[in-house]
Parts: sequence; C-alpha cells; structure tokens
Amino acid sequence: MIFNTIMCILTELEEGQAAVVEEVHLETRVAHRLFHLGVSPGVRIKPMRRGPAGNLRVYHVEGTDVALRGETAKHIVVRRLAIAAAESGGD
Amino acid sequence: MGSLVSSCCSKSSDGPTATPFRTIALVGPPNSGKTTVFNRLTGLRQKVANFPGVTVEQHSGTIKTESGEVQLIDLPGIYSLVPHSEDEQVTLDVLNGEMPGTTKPDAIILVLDSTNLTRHLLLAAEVLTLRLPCLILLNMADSLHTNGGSVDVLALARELHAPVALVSGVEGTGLESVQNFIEFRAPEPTEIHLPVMQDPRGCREWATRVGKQASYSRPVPPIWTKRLDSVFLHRWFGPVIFLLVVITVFQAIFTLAQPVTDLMTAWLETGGRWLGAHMTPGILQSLIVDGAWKGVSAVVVFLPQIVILFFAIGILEDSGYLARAAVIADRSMAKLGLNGKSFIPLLSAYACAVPAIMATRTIENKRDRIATILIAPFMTCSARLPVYTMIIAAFIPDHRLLGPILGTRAAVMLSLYVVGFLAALMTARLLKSFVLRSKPSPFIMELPCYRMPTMRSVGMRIVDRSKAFLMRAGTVILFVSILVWALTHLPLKNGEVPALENSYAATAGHAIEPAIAPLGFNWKIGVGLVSSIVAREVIVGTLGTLYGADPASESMRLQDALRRDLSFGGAVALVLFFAFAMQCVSTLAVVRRETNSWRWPVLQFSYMTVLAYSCALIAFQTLRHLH
Repeated sequence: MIFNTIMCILTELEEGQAAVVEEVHLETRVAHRLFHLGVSPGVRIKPMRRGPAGNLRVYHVEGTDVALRGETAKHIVVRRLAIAAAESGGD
Repeated sequence: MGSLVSSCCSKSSDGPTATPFRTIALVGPPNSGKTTVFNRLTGLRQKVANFPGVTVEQHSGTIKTESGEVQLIDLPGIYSLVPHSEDEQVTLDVLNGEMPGTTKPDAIILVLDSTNLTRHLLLAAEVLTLRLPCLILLNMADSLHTNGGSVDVLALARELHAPVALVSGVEGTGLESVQNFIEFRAPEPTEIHLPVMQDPRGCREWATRVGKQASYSRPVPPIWTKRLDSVFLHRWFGPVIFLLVVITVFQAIFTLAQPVTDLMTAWLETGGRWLGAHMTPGILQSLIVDGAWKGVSAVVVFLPQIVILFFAIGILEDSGYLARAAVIADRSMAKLGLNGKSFIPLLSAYACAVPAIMATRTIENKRDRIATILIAPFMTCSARLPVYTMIIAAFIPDHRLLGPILGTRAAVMLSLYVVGFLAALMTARLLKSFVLRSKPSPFIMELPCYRMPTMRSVGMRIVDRSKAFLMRAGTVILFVSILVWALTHLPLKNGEVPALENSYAATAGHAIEPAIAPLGFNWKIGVGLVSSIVAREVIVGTLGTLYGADPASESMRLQDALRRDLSFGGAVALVLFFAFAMQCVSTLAVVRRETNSWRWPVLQFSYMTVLAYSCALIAFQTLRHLH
C-alpha cells in the first residue's frame, strides 16, 4: 500500500476519496458521539455525496453512512489515502 | 440458519436452584432494532410512563415464561453509557438502581446490530463492566445473512464471557434464547479484560480484535440502499421527492380520514340519540347526552387522522426515509437556527401538537428542543379544522378559483395553514435570536440502511398512540364537557334549568365581553373562546349548545346563527385568533412535562395569546366597515 501522506481537513476531500481520520478537534460531547458512530482516529472515511442541503455531506465510515454539516467536518483532520490503496478495499 | 442457536444454554449448569430474574433492562444503540425486539418479547403487554423528573419515556412490558412473569424495561436508545445526554444518564441511573421508582434490574438484555457489530461492541464493553448478568442479542440476523456477513456466536460469547444469540426481531427468530436466559439464569460475567473508555484508539483495537476472534465478517451494505440514496439524497430529486412525501402525508391525513370521520360522527350521533331515548328525560339525561357524550364525541372523531398520521410516520421511520428527510430539511431548518431533527416533530404537529412535542425528544440540543416545542402549536393541528370549517362554511361563498382543483373555501383553508406556518417561522427566528440563542448545534445523523417496514411494528405504534389519544378524550375532554354543560345549565331556579341568559356561562360571557368586543365578538363567542382553552374544537360544541339553548336561534343552523351574530371582520378575527392562540390544555400540560418547568408553558401561553389578540384586533378594526 502506498500512502500519500498529505493531511487535510475532512471537508476538503473529493467525493469518493478515501482517507484515514487522524485528529478530531471537537468538544468532548460531540467527539464522543462521533466516536460511537465510528468516526475516530485510525478509521477509514469516505465522502459519499454532498447532500442537497449545501454544506451537509454523507460520509461512509465503518459500514455506516453518517451525515455531517461542514462546520462539524472541518474540525476533523484526515490523511488522504492514495487512490491505489483506497481501491484495494476492506479496512 | 444453524447459527441462530443461542450459546447461552451452554452456561446453564446451575439449574433451577437459582431464582429466576424479576426485572430485566433492555439496552441498545439507536437503529439496532431494539424496539422491534421489545415488541416481539412483550407483545401488547406494555405500558408507557415517564421516568420521574426527566422527560425520558419509559416503556415497560412483561415477558411470559414458564416460571412466571418477568418485567422488561425498555431503556432509551444510546450509543454509550458515558452520560452526555439525558437518555444516557437515565439508562445509567436505571442500571445502577439509582432511578427512584424503578427497581434495579437484575439482568440486562443488550441488543446490538449484527450488521454493525464492531462499532456496537464498544457499548457491549461498557455494559459488561456493570457486572450484571447480560444476554447479548445480535439483531438483524436476516440482513446479516442475506448480505453475506457472518459471525461465530460461540466464539464471541467466549470473548465477552456472556451468552450471545443471533436473532431477528423482524422475523422473530432466535428469541427463544431470551426464555433460556431467564429460565436458567445466566451467571454474572466474570472479570474480563475490557478497554479503558478514555482511550479511543485502544477501544477500537479491542473491538476489532474481538470481532476477529469471533470471525466476524461485515455484510456488504445492501446495494439498493446506495441506489435509493442516490435518488432520495440527490441534489435536485431529493428535495422534490421530500416535498411530494410531505404533501402525500398531508393529503392522506385529510382525504383518507374524512370518510371515516364522517362515518364515526354519524355513529356517535346515532349513539347519542339512542342513549337519550333510553333515559328518562331530565337533568341526568341532559348531562350525559348533551354534556359528556357530545363533548367527547367531538374529539374522538379525530382518531382517524391520528391513526393515519402515525401510520405514515411509522412507515417513513421504519423504512429509514425519515433520517434522509431530516438531512434534506436540515438546510431550511438551519436558516431558522434549528436543525433537521426538528422537521419530524413539526410535521407531526399538523395532526396534533401533543405527539409532536413528545417527538422532540430526539433533538439533543436542549435549546433547539425547547424552540421546537414552542413553535409546534402554530402548525395547523387537526383540532383547528372543525373551527375553520365552521367559520368558512358560514362566511365564505363557494366559488371556483382554479377550475375544479381549488375553490374559494379550500383557498381560504390553505391560507390559514400558511398563516400558522409563517407565525412558526417568525417565532423560531425570534426565539433563536434572543431567548434561546445558542451555538449552532452539530447535526450528526446516522443514515441506517433502508428496510421494509413491518405491519407489526407500525401497527404497535398506532395502537400505542391511539391509546394515549383516547385516554385524553376520556379524561380531560370529558371533564371539561361536563363543566361546560354545568355552566350552561346552572344555577337551578326553583329546581328548573335556567334560561341561557341567566346561566353561569352567560354571566361569565358578559364579564369578559368588554375585553372581546373590540375583536367583534359577543358574549356567546366569548364563552366559546373560554371553553376552547381546553381544546380548540370544543368551541364548536359550545356554540352549538349556546345557540341551541337560545330561543331566538334554536331553529337555525349554527352557520346562520353565527352569520347573524358575527360580522365578516369578526369572522376573520375569530379564525386568526384560533390560528395563533394556545387554546389547548393538553399541549400546555405536555409542554410542562417535557420542559420540566412552568416557565415555558406560561411564556408560550402568554406569547400566543397576545399575538392572537393583537392580530384579531387589527383584523377586526381594519375590516369592521366592510359589508
């Protein structure tokens, strides 16, 4: 697996671009909630589609789809995975 | 389906010497199908109550076993036992035996979604540390198998030191494990190595390791969930479908319910006449037929609308669409300072504000929740319909506006809906800019896979809500109907019922006349207004009683009598008053219960009454010279 180690924030990911969550900079309550929905450091995440509601986006994580607003997603730092690694499937 | 066999029988060696469980708590994350399992286990042997001091609803039911009945407490859906929300706090308190009025459960049934096992194992870790005997049900076995997932139940039970069973709440398979768990009384879990919750990475590693040990392979997400979402969440189609869904629900509430309502009205009238004919004429007959029967019937006829609303909400929620609807509504709701989760309660409020306010429990942000509770009664609930219909029929001539689609009367009705909606929007803006200002709450929404709703689960919900509605009709409404009857029939003069002019109702009506005269209302309308504080639709019955008791109008139809007493401006003022005023004791009571303070219902009542009075005043004073 080749890792492209460019870090970015979750909102900057293109649709379908897989990444690994690195840091979650949100208040404990929100971070905890996200953790239990599968969004936590070390987890693979992939933006699925930009929702009809502008800054809302659906992310695929741990086999579930989670909708997040841009203002929440921008506090999550991710590491992009190279396309080759992203397509090798599984996690 | 051999894997459906529970592993808990392997732990049943201590046999019948142990006393069976008495109280079991049902715990599980949202979207794990916990309610379906609860319904399967308890059937219709359920009751709903509130935990004392909090707004969390407590469903409990009984499981029948060979050795007797066991109480099952359905706790709110939670992701974690770390108390960040009221739901989590309540669950923790109940499990620790710190909830007053609730016995400490002596066992736990934990429902997890087998198609999302790794994630849900984190909750299992937290629950197991409580050291209560625990049965873990991996629900949605049907989806797991059809989508190519699998899990070794015995291996998982070994890892967790607790009995595990694969079940399907929808199909009802695997649930015999619950009987075994109760009969053979599984022991308390022995100490196992569990991750420290403060270390997210450690937790995840633990969950992944346990999943591996149990040879868990996650099912492929069903392809049609992806396909449906590409339409339902599409940038353009999404909102269009959303609107169509909302309009359909609406249309169904009115058109489908109408024939049934008409039928029920006819039956109830016949019933009333039959009752009257079989009683000796006199004061008791009048009390029962004119007071109790008529008053309660006026409200019971809304049952079909309630049933249809909850049928629609049940289908939307169980299929998974409601989560998508919230995503789509999020943008508009964000403009009001609320979020997508407020949409569902506001939609329900078109039928009745009471269930709508109870539905606000899914909104995590307290301020958003209160704002939603406060604006919900502006949505045109079904109780306003009879009032609007009565006034429209009396004052608006039936003309065609847009061919056969829209007539003048329907247009007026529609504009009253819009007026209520605008008042809600304005109020939300006001509240969120001043009283309930808060940081925009994060909108985090899990989008579960689409599933076929089952008639069983939708049906149970309808039964549950209809029961609550009929309870209200049988208590509050009954009481007020009798009260209004008493006021119009007392004080007795030489043992005779007095003329209406001399009744307490008239005295009260005349007393408030100075306050309502500037709105174009006379004392009879005033009595109607006062009586309708109990429930809006009561005014129709009250006016019927009042005009019926008045010799000058007793032979007229109610509409003609109204036209004689009320100017056009007064009629406009009256409908506007009803559009804005908080004429509903049940709503006030539920607001008091849900916000756990008198402050909000008092504020809401005052605000709505002032708004209603001012708008009615402006309308009448502007239009008084018309006609």
